[in-house]
Amino acid sequence: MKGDKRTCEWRCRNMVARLWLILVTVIVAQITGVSRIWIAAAEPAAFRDRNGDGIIHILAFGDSITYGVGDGYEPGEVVVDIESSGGVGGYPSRISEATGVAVSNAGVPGERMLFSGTERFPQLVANSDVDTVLFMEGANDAIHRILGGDYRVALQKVMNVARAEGKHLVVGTLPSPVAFHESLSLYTALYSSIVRELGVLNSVPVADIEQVYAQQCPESDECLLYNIPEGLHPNTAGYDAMAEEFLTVLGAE
Amino acid sequence: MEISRVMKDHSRIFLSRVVQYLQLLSVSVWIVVICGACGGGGSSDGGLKGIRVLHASIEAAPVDVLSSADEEPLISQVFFGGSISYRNISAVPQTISITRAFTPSRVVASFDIDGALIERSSLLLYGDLSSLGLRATIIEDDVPSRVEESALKFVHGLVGASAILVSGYLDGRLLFEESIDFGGVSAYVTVPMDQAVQIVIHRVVDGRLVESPSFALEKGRAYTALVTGEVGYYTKTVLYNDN
Repeated sequence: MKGDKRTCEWRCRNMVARLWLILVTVIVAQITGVSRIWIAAAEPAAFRDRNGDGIIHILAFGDSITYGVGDGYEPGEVVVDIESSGGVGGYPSRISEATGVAVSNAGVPGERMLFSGTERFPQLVANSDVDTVLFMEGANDAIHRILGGDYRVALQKVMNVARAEGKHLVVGTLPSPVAFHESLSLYTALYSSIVRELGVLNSVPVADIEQVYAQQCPESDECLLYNIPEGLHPNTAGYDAMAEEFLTVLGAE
Repeated sequence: MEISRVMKDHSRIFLSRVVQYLQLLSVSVWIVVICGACGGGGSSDGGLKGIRVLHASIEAAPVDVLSSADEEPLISQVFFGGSISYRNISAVPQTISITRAFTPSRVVASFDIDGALIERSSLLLYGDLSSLGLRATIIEDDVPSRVEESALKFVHGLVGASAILVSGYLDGRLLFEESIDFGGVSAYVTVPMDQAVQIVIHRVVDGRLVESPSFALEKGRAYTALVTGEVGYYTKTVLYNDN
């Protein structure tokens, strides 16, 4: 009986000592910021409050494909021409719904990256509360047959501004247009290869939308991710696929 | 009686496991804390001698710096406006090349230097790809041997201004004024320490205001302020420690 009591006392003391160690450790972790380092390390870079204003703000920058033109049409619907730019939707609203993080849609239908897009970018990003930028632009540059060299310089400028401003940047490749707009695919493929190349050079993550489309649409003219035969703007399923790829690269899935 | 004893044993084992797990967690926290304290000396601002890169070209990709005297890159992936410390180089005559990052064959510029004579030097990359072309030059960072308050010099890498006028003010009083040509560097000026000095940068040709940053500098430190970007598009002044 006596021995049992002593063993119990020893166990209790041992337990108390261990709990003290844990308590002291928690205090030290709090003081030294180790807990914050752990939390930050566990957090994907895209969902970090980089400017410390207490709000995570993602900006989706691009043209009509960022704005969401063509969203709302279901696969299989015959869409020859999309006259209305519709309400704001597209992949940004889906990312916001999936993550609960504010995603501003800065898509401007008809905008080319060269000149207008590159000019607009610092105006929205510099000295702003934006933490992460999703960037995808080039379909209208393809319509105007902008050369790859010019596209490369413009994209590098965008990457340089984003980094100099301390923003996390994710760039997207361009889905290859089909049917009525198939002729643009030569240029969009070139731009997509430049996006990948500069992504590696600048250590910027790339959402490979072109690959997603290529995998899901082996028969391009019957691609269920596009409004067919219009062939330039994604439909509801297309925007779902784009959002999924962005979410994967953002580390949300 | 038997059931209650078994339950007590089980809860004791469970509690013991939880404590063991927390203890393991504690040990790992201590390791992180101790390693963090030991690793403090290896910060990126550590190097105070050798060469560094001032990347001022807003159109250019990141660059590496290679040396004929070393197999490994001296400096890797320097970004536009990025801050890096000086890197030591071998004390022998050698060719230093600025190349596009990860692409040794894409040489932007090369310089023949004698490593033994290099104290502190900056490789300035400036210009653009669309009209002026990419340019590079070596700047000797002749840091004053004794800095009473703070010392500051300016490097002009701003596309769209053949010359800039840099003025420094403290409480509305003019402290200094320097005119610098594109790709050029000013002499060090003495700046009061620990006080917010207002810098105002104008383009000389038309007096257009391009930048107005404010800096509070530390006692005994020398700095380089790189004025970079493109007039009318995006401008930034980046501060580098020189000593």
